[in-house]
Amino acid sequence: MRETFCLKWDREHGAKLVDFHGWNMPVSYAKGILAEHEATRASAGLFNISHMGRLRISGPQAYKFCQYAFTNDLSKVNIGSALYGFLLNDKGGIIDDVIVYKEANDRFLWIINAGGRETDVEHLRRLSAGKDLRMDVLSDETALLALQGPQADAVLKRLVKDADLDKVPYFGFGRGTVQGKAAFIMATGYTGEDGYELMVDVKDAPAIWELLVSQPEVNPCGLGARDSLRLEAGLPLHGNDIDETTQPYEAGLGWAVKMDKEGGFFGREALNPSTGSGQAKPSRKLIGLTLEGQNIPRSHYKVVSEGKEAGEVTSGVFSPTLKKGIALAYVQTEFLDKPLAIDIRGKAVPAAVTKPPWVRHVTKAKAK
Amino acid sequence: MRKFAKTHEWYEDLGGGKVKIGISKHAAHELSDVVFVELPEVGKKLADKQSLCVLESVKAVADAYSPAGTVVEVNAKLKDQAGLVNQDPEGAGWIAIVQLDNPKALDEYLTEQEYLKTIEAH
Repeated sequence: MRETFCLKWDREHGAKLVDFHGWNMPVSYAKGILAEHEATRASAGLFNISHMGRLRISGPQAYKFCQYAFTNDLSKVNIGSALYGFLLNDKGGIIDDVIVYKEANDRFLWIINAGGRETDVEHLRRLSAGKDLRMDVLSDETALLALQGPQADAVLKRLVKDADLDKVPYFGFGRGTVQGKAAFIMATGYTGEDGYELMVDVKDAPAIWELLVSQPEVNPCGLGARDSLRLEAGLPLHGNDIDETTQPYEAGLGWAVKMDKEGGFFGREALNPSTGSGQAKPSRKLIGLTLEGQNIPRSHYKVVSEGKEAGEVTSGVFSPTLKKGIALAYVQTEFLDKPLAIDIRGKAVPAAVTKPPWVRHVTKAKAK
Repeated sequence: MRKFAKTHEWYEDLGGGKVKIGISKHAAHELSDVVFVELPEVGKKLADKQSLCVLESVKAVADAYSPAGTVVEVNAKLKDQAGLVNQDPEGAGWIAIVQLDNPKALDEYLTEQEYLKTIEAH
């Protein structure tokens, strides 16, 4: 299994380790998922997410190429800001969901999922063959840390003296130093909280991790809490809720696809060949479902409606904040206005349709 | 004396064919953060190695199994305090007491030492 800089620390701090896309990662530390989840909502959580991929695309044709490979519209974003969007295959399916940070008019940083660390890069290399640009994979030489929660801002301001973090809006980024070490500081995250993601040199990462985790407000968190936090925030997980067989519109993510942007994008034609518009009604939709009582939905549980199969749960969890079971599920559109239930061990448990997010506390200035 | 199952339950012989059932410390640690325990009804008849109850944690769901018998008591505290399964799995986090159909059913299960060896092997 592959290892990040943090594995030794993880082992020394009671981490329960799991294989996540080939990476030996902590699902939780000694206190457990619930405590880590609650600490992130109440104070601050620190996550090592160095298993994710980092890629810089630069050069004379970098802008045009990034626009072509990515579904959102980079012409609408200023230098110092980022956009969420997709890499699509030629069927319009989601190869990966990514965030692209515009560092300069000819330089873009891509943060990609762990599962796409190699395959996304291969896809981008194929698409960019012959173009005048550079692709620098930073995944091994850097580390990525996420500091999330209502206290994350105060903690980072205490440690970063040479950057004005108030000037970094949600989905913006800047540069500064932590303990004299350079950090690329991004006001993004995957928890529904304010916070930052820091890209640092992998050699500096152990000391920066130690410094961050030693702050009184900060609790180390594993992937278990990351998953329950992102699900409460209604954020999809690639591989569960979206994948190469799902298109952005049916996942409710059409807002990150700009059908009409200049030059189009790879996969666009497949999004809706009949109308040429991605807006037409898909046959199924990813929706949020909430259960009452002691019922917890899990991925692959069936959604039923009056005895008929209506869909399938793709992510489900016990929401520590709501103390209820919550789920994202694909439901066939003909059942969307009918009573829905989730089949839990043969029992149809009524499910209320809830528009995600269930929990969102993003307050940072200029939040979208 | 306590016996253990490879499926991570402990069975404490209370005499008269009654056994108290819970899950091992190892299982509780692996499952972590148990939030609900779907307790069986008192009087429920269980076939051999049938699910006694379902344990729901934040991330996962697991069954606890029992030898054939009838549920005679459940740990009602778990209805409100499922976390007892994590805090004290081999004590206050017990799940149920079952009257065994075959009082010798526990003979086939592992001693604690044997059980601990099966965990180490993993």
